[in-house]
Amino acid sequence: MNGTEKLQAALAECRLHAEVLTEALDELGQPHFTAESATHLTSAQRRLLDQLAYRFAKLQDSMGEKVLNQAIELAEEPIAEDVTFAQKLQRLERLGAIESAAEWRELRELRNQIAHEYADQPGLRAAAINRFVIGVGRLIALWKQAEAFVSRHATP
Amino acid sequence: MRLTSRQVQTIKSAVLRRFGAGAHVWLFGSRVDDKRRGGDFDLYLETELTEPDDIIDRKIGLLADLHATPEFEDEKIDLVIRPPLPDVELPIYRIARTEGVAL
Repeated sequence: MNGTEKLQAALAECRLHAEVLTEALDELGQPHFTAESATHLTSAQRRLLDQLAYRFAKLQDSMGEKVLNQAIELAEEPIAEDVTFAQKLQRLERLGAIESAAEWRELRELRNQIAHEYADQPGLRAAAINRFVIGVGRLIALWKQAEAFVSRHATP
Repeated sequence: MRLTSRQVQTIKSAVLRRFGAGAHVWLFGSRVDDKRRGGDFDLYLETELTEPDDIIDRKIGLLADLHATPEFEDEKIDLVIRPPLPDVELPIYRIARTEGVAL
């Protein structure tokens, strides 16, 4: 598989994750959870939140590892081999491949917060779920921007 | 305590920026033990803030700030936050305060 084929495969993978995220978000209906409702999630809500958490992590990982690195190369930006991912994010923001490096990092933290149990802190648990649901929409928006950037630069 | 002075300063300034001067932070867990190696960074933070949405927003911002620094990039940080709720006294709060080190 050459570079172009690898990129196309990565884009297809990300599209699938984004599609499943969108469907699950629609099905969840974007409710605002309270301390009470977050403590008594329905089995359908729990299943959808699990699905969102799984696809969210997959989309962000695949974007980070397979698409965003390529985006810098496609923009023909010279980049040192020892550059950190944080530096790459700044570059991607400047290029317009992602809207905000800071937001990317915050979305990364959201993934861990959804797994955090917040035992005996139902108010914080509800807030973490609500923030995560908002974050899903933001990750999809970041993905669409990156996808458009790559498509624009990959087209001869 | 296995934190460099630069790591301590990074944590304190990030906590101040995100949670304000009313917040206090402790290091606890394996990083307090000088004889051990590696391990996660367990932090315990007490805040005067009460609004859950606000606390979660600031918590995420704080963790993102720390992971954006060379001191904590790729490091696992567990941050326990205690809002001022008098009727909630979790065992981890007591452990963090009695066995931890105030930063």
